Amino acid sequence: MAKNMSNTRFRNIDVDAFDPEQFQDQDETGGDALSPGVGPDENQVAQLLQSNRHEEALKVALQNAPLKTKNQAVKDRATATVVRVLTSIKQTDMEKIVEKLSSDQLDLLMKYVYKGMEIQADDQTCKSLLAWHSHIFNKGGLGSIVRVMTDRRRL
Amino acid sequence: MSSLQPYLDAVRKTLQAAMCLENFGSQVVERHNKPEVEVRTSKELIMTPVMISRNKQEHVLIEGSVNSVRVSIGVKQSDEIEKILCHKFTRFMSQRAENFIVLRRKPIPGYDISFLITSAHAEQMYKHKLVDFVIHFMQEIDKEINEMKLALNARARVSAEEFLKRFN
Repeated sequence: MAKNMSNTRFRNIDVDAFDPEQFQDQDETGGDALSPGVGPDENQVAQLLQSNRHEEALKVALQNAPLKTKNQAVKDRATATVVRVLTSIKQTDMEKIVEKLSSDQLDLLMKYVYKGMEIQADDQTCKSLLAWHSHIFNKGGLGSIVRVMTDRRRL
Repeated sequence: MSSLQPYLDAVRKTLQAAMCLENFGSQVVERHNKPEVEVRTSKELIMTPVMISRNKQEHVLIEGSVNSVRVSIGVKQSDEIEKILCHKFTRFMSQRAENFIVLRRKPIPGYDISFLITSAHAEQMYKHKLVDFVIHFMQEIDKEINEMKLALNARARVSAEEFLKRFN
């Protein structure tokens, strides 16, 4: 590289971090992990699961995704909640439920599926998540995967 | 087999999605063109890495970027022998990385073998064949290690028999 300036350290500065729109107060979400409003309502999900209303449980679990928070623990807990719902649904019901989801919910679900495979990689969970993956792919196509990979609001 | 097929299917679809590459020169150095997933000069060029797993050991990490994809594979190793065989096998391959073109010389920490597919590769070769190659590789490496393990045990048995004949 032709160097006509002595100081090139400014090139390493992460400019995005100083974007005023990206600014987030740490205490806003980071301080209290149990604060309401971030993450799905676990109690309601558990209740719906107990009364065997899997489809509604999934819809509730997909609400309020903690995409904007920086607290990884909150995101992981939300993923665990969604994965619990996903694994409790039988393979035969998956297609029917996927058909009823909107495209936004579908993309979010795909995110949870990938994240779920990352953090809870036991045999049974993966089997179920892989089945979900193929059902979501059948409806959403390659776009649903591309949207997971390109979205900056990660889980 | 029943559990392997969905796993491979998911990897194939994700790879197809990630294989959307373009020729992209470095933003930092004039006239350089490097795989962004390796140099990581800017985070907006890197896509969210996704992981597909079948169980604790067998998993694939797919890291996409604007001009390159890195695919890292974790191979099943249920006992010590398989661990040694897998290590030897992947090392053998990595040392001959040029012959495989898309193989990375060194795997990512935590994985057994990595591939690095750049936009140049995607231009020279058919993308669907590249995807096929990675999937085929994943199928074959399990088979290969199983066969090597059987051959090793058979050989150990024969040599033990020969040795113990003396004491008959």
